[in-house]
Amino acid sequence: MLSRTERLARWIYLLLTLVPLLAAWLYSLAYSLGLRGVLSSGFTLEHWVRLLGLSGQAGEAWSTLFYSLWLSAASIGLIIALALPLSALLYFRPRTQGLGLWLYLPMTLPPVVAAFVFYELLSPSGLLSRLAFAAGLSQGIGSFPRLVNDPASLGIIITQVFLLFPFFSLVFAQQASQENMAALQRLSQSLGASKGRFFRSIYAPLILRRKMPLLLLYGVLLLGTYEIPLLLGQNSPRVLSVYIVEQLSRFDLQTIPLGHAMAALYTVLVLALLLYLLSRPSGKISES
Amino acid sequence: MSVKHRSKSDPATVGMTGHLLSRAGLWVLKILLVLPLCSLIYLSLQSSWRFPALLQAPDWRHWSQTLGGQNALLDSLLLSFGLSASVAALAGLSGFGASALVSGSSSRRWLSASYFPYLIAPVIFAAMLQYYFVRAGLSGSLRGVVLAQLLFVFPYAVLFYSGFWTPRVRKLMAQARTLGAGRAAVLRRILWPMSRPWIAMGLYQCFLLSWFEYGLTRLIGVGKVPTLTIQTLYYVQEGNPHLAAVASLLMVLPTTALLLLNRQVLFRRLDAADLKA
Repeated sequence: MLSRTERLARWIYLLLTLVPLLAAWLYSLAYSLGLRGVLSSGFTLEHWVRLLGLSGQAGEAWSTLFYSLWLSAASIGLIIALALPLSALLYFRPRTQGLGLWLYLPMTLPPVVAAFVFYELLSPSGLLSRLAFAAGLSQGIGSFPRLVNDPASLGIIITQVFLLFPFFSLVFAQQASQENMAALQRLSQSLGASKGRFFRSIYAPLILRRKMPLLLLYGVLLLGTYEIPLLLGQNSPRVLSVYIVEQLSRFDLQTIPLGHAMAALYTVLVLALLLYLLSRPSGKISES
Repeated sequence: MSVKHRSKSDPATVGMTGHLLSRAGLWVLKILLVLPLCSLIYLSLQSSWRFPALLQAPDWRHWSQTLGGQNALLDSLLLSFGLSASVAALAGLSGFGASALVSGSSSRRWLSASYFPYLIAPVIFAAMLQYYFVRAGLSGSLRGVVLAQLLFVFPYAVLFYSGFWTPRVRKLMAQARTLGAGRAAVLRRILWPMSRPWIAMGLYQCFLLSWFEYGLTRLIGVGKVPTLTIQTLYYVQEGNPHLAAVASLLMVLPTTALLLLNRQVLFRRLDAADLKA
């Protein structure tokens, strides 16, 4: 049984965690429904129709939503593609353990610094462009391919992957050690599986299954990323956070309810993803 | 060819990946990993780096101006340090206490409440909260930024410290109580020695979370709380990459120090989000 003090402390805990979020979400929802704000004139679904319809500003909102989801999925996909083989190297080859300290370097960079430095590296007048010019591969600033503020969002993806793939390489290598992959590999080889087959059929699926909750959590975190797309992204489409902040800070008061509607929608989306994650047994592999 | 030889002598090598990365490949990877930091150092030592120049003689002008207090960076450094230290102390210590209450086996649902504010993008959280801060007169003030940062650093601290409250710790405390130790003795003789490294690591993590923050600080601080992150982006937008590089390096100082002292702390900063609930 909990004491009275402990019960009180738990309510204070809820007050500090869920109540501010709930209050913020309710305000955004009320604003988007015309119940709050300078232009409020009573309950209306007009702003939601403007946001989620299929024409005008609505198209922009949908493209923002899908663009953010795409960026997050592409980054996580590339992180997996790089981190899985690297983690196998770290685990199976003690010689590559010397890479350890180097892999921690990206973790020292705040997102805002990473965005700035990758802008300086990848922009048409950046280091990569200068090296290409010096090597005779480019004719100058104009002929260097756009890698920042580009339609394919390469700059954003490269920066996000750079910041996170070393971390996931270490996480996967740690997991490989916990799963005793060396023994599993010996067993699979004794049954005739090649090293490539072992990697494809046992190593990769097992690690991914165990670490899927963490990967999905990072997918959710990347969905709300702000500084990197702010510096390295295009004006259109924009990511969710940039879109919301812009809608809320424009001089045109008509866009504020749209920003609040999108913020309320994003919050529901994140909460739904999190509830789904929390409802799963964490990283456990079902026998069925 | 040497890779083939090694893979024969080392039966635990994964074939495909073994062939993909040779020694040269590893060096390329190391160069790529260190390149951003080196670029920052180089940029901070230039005052005019026009295309297509590559290497130029160093110019210490921006560093001497910064250390001589001739620009806003030294003030920003002190402000950022004070802000992050306050947030870390408040969130870390209260988070440790709260984690004791909500990380028991019967309380896992309570712990999951901390994931919600932690996973919402701080800048969007701030955009939705801004109304309340304006009403409370906290918008544009340091107090407001501290409070706003606490709203997502505190849940993080709870998640982080929940890893400390293992059944072993609880059992040890219960055994000591059964054997007649008072509450104060349990705290002083058992809890404090066991939790000290955790508390220190958690405080540092909270400090870094606040130290790295940009979007929320910009929205709630409305530009009146010029932390290092705010200054960095201000210099970038002003077209002064050299001062932005100096600001960036000042920001990277505490994390680089950690890299040399205890790199596991950097790893734990990102790993604490793993699902515990």
